[in-house]
Amino acid sequence: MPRRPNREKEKTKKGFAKFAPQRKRTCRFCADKLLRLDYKSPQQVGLYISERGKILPRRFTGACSKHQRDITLAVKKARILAVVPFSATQTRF
Amino acid sequence: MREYETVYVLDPALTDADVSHSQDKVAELIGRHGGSIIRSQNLGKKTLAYRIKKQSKGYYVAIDYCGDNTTVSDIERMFKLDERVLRYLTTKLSEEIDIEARKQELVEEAERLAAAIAQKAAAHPRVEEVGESMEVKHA
Repeated sequence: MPRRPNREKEKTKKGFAKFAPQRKRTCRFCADKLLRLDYKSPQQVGLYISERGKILPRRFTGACSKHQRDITLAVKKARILAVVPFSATQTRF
Repeated sequence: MREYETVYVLDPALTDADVSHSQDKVAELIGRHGGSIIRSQNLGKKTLAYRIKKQSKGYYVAIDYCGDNTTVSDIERMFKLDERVLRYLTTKLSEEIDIEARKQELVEEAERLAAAIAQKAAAHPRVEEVGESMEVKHA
């Protein structure tokens, strides 16, 4: 007899999502209109790259799609100017 | 007139006088093209994230100016020919600008930054005070 897909499991998963603490996340660049990411500052750009030098995804940066694009641009500019590395292996010299 | 920002990295073996000399040279070039400088700042000697021309440090200089595409291409050609320039990057900030208004804006921005830093400094002792009062409650 063919097994029916386990609908119960899905239900419980959805149930969990329902009761998980709901955290309202707002983009910090939307919250503060004057805030601008300076691609010349390693301290500022460093917040948006991983240990390996990759650009962090939106679920980590918490930015909206518009400002995530700005972050991406800033990181890429900073890489050209040697403010942040292109990759983690580059820094070992 | 468009507003551009050019950031370039200079050889760390230079002195501060050499850096300001190169800033003057760029300023002169911009002036010759009928543009004008909005802000020219020496960001100091910084460590590079990776080696460029076997150098691990460099002087960062950022220049905000207004000009047109010929200004940018001339500046970049000068950098290309100059052995002491390790890296440069020009970005367009806006299409049309009012120079005086932009200068004013930058001044306000600097003031805001200074105010924010002062606020942070003022907030810190207050945090300590709270900590002390909590200790008193415990005793």
